[in-house]
Amino acid sequence: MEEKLVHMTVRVPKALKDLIKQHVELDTHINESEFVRDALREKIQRECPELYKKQFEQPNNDNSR
Amino acid sequence: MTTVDKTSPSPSSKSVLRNTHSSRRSRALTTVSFRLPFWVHVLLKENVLNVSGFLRSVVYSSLEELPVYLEFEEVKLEVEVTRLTEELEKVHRWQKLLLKHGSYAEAYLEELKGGLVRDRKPFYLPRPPPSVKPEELVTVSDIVKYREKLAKRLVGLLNRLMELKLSKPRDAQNKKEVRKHE
Repeated sequence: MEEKLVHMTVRVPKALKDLIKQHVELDTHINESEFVRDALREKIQRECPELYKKQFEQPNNDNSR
Repeated sequence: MTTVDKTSPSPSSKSVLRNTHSSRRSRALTTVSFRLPFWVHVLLKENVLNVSGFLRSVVYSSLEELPVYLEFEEVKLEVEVTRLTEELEKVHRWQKLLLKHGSYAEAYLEELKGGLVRDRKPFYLPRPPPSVKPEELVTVSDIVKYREKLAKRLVGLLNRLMELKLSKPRDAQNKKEVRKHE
């Protein structure tokens, strides 16, 4: 079953967007979008570990994709 | 005591919104688009008051963890300056709203306490022009003091940032000269 996705935007200063771009080119992130998603994932993991476990680490969980 | 003119436009009118947000619009911000799972979107909407500000803070925290952030002072300063500018604009907006709406500013005082903001100014009711209460003036004066502190720190950071930016071409020029001598 395909997971429902929501389109969102975050506004950042140009200098920082350029920095993200540079980092994405050097790093393993696919694009800037993946960088933001990864940042949010880490935040949830750090601040709500139980929720993170529930959503991402359970086997056969659709949300882990 | 400051009073608000009866003829002043409502806070929901376009002209007021334009005035209160002009400083924000002038800043060079660009957007980063991304897709999120629906459950994360719901989680944010239900638990975070200012989703946009929260997402920005997440991005800044993530940038702070990059090796480049520790290596280069300029990057560090850029993030710090952006954060301070945002904070400065936010408290300035509060101050302006507080003075503009007078005793109807209770909703905005709630925001200071971290509550939800709802502007319930009943324009249709024949009430006397609202005035700023003494306790609201104390809040305004506190905000002004806070802004002064933020501005002082911001000026220091901007000066350092300018120094770094100006020294960049000089470094490049020095390297060229060294190469020529070699």
